[in-house]
Amino acid sequence: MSPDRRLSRRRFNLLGTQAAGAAIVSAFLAPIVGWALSPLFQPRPTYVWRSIGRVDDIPLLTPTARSVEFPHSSQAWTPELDRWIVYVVRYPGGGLGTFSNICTHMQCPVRWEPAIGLFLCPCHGGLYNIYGTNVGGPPPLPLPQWIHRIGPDGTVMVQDRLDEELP
Amino acid sequence: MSENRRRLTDPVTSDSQVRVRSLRGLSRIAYAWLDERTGIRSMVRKGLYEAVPRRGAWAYTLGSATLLLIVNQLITGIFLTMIYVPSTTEGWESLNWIRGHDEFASIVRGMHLWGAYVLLFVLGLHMVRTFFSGSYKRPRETNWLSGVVLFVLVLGLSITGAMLPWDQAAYWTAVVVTNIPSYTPIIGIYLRTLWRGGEFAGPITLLRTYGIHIWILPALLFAFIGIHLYLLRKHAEFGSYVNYRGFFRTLHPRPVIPPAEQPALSEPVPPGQRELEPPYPGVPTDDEWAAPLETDDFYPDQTFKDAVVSLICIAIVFAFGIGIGAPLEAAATQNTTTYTPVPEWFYLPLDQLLVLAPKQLISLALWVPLFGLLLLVILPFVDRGRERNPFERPAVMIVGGLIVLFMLVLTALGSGRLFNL
Ligand code: HEM
Ligand code: FES
Repeated sequence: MSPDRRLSRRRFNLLGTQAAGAAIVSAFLAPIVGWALSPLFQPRPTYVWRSIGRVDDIPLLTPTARSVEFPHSSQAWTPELDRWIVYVVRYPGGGLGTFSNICTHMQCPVRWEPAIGLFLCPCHGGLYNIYGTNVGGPPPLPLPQWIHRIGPDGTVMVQDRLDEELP
Repeated sequence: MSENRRRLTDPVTSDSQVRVRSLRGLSRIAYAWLDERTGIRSMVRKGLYEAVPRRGAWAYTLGSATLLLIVNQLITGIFLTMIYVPSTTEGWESLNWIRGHDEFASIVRGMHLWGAYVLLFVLGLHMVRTFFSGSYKRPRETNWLSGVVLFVLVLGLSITGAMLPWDQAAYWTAVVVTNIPSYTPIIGIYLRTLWRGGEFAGPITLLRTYGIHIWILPALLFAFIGIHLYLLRKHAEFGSYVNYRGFFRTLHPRPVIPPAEQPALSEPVPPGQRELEPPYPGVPTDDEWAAPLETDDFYPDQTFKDAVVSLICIAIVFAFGIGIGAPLEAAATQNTTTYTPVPEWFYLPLDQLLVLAPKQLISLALWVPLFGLLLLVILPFVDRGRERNPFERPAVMIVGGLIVLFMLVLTALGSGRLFNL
């Protein structure tokens, strides 16, 4: 056997090992990476509307917490519904606020503090005024609102969709 | 070590020469049989009778205590998989059920939680020790780097573990922690969606975190423990300055004898006259081996100290695991306007940074821990001098001290929140 022939056989085996190895690794990786990335490609299911009572019952300039049940956003297998807070408030001009209590900083549960007339986040002290504007602490965006509409009969409906993308 | 002490690995004469006169003789034959087929004798010899430094030996117990605490996590964690259901609907129920129905399961859970706490603490001490004694210097840079990986893995295990009970504390930890990657430039929101499996924390979040906690991170952890211990044995436990110079001898240095003028190997060298700065030996040189003053056998001299410290650690874990146990708050819900999320204590410095950073600097604050990690990674490549004595390396010691101080100050600032003040 000539030396070059030995070399090329060696080279063949080398390339063969690498090619087989690469094929095996891709066979492992393809389904796993695909699965891991799948949440990015799930179609967002159709949004639902939920009634949170009549507009006349909503107090003026006093944000009030209501609970509302939405299907889980990931549409996972669990039949359990998510219960979210809607802070409803009516403004003198006739406007209506339907705030979520998800802080735009790290998504802690914000609360209305009547004593200071502000929404306070218990995690890092974020503050929002009655219009949801972020007025103090770390939150980078205003308090998000659940999309709402007022039906012809005066019922307030909210959708499981926020009016801004949370950072 | 006395010469006539019998060691476990002393060879026996070959099988045929040994007469079975007693059970003891029989067991020696069995051992010889096994050794011929497996090489177990040299394995045990290598494993047990490694020379370890005599000086500073109590400080070297921290690594084995860390290992034992990780074994505690492994054992209790394995049994927790038969106690706990990784589900948003049943996870909390399963842990709530064992309270009052299954005292022993509660203890297992308590030991897993307190084991994690003590582990983080002891691991921190182990890091401080190796930092202080300059053990990361050539050729042990990879020992240090594998240790940094282990540190990150244990932090990852702690934070993913804290999300699993799916009570209010766990849920809000999950919400905040899975939201942190969203401040990564450009791909941030995608990272959050991947971890959560959707827009908000929920069933997929819990299941993914569970898989990470019980398989992915432990598998990596044990792989890197193997690497860490292999490297330890390769370079031997002589990374500390006390082994090269001896603390007291550094304060009163003795003259260095150039290797050329050193007495021949057969003549024992008096301890004080050995070359002070050996050229980074992996293991002691032959004459150092022969110097009983400086080294001990790993077994039983070091193992005794290791066992004492490990026992203390496990006693603490056991006592707190039973006495205080693992808490379980109300089941998770977003439907609250009263709940105040409180960060885990080991996560407090980072959370306090989130309190302090104004809205323009949120992502900057989140880069701070990564910057700290970077410092840990580059340490052995920056501090490369031969000097291992901490008092001769003031720059490194001061930077290290300031970082620890920074974390302690952040913890102190945030500590009121741990008690809901
Ligand atoms: C090695 C380092 C580990 C650390 C630092 C760690 C840490 C933690 C922590 C802090 C918790 C929350 C405890 C609680 O509040 O109940 C937890 C829960 C849990 N861990 Fe680990 N763990 C580790 C390894 C493991 C391993 C190897 C397994 C399984 C193979 C495991 C399985 C579990 C399970 C099933 C839970 C949920 C049960 C519960 O919350 O009570 N862990 N872990
Ligand atoms: S989560 Fe609200 S201020 Fe940080």
